[in-house]
Amino acid sequence: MLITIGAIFLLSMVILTTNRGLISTNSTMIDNRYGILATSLATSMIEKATGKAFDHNTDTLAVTSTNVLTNINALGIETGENRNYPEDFNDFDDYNCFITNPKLDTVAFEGTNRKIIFRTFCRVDYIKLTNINSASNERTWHKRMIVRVISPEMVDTIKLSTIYSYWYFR
Amino acid sequence: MGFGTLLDILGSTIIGGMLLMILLRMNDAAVQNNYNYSGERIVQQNLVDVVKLLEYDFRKIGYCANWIAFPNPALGIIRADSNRIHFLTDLVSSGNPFGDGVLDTLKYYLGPTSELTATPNPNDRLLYRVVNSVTPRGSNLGITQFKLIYFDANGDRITTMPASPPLGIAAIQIDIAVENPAAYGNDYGVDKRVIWRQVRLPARNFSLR
Repeated sequence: MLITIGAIFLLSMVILTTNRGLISTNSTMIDNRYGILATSLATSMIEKATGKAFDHNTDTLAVTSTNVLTNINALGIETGENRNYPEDFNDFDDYNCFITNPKLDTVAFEGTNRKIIFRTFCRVDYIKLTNINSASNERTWHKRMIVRVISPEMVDTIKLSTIYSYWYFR
Repeated sequence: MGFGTLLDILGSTIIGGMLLMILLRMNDAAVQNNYNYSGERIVQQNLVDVVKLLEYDFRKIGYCANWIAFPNPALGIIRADSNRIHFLTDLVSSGNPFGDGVLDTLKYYLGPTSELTATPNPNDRLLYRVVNSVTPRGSNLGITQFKLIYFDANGDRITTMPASPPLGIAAIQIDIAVENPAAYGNDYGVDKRVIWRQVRLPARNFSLR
């Protein structure tokens, strides 16, 4: 009798372990799927930002000195711009307004009421080419944007970054 | 043979039957999961491959290695529709990694579902990539949606366009959905779809300041 009970216990453990493995694989698979979607949103953000001017002060004029660029502590939206209308941003560092308060993207699945909310955080800093992994404490010709996308449906954060440099045609 | 022995045999038979049922069910679940996981992996790979190709091509809308041959990239998009786009670009050829300086026409469009009736999935379609005037060819990557939404320089959605370039397009939103062409149990629910949504800016060099 004891042997039978022991055998059933072992079998139960095997079944539970197998099921746990299957469920874990399934959730990883779904997480990957949302990760792909989050990557597309992060890439979109980078694409939009790199389509803008390098700086508010280079929007219409060419500059030759970094002293003319936006101050480090003023990176973000300028007067007249609204964080709810990113289409109206005129320069790359305007996206710094999403540093703590994220941009929300809701993706709806066609044919269902199901929606996923993604929150996209952006951080823009000046960087020096000698140390691109750290923010510079002085103005340079290079800005780095770090985009982080999170969602309640995802386990991990998607983090992408890009560097945008100033140049113009003479 | 005593009553106890009979009880043992009966109990063993019941437990043995249960074990057999469990094993059969587990085997079925293992087959299903294996099929689903490998299918999902293929679907995700297909999506990434399509997106990589689109990113590469869309980035070069209006590009020409010989800029004199095409000085105004704003004229790069010839025709734009919700699931079709024609544009001018300069494609890489052997010996010309930056293009040969001769303009090429590239078309992307989605075929009808009737072309892929041979696959169990009723929603999949062929995504065509046609270079110049060669015969259209497509490969079945399980694409069920290829939707393009266009925006002007103000970020407003374009609903009507001029008949000829410039069409006033500053950004394109690309929505792609990929499904398994032959899913386990013919389950093609919305939750089995892998989606990509990206905003891409054509002729970006044009707006650099």
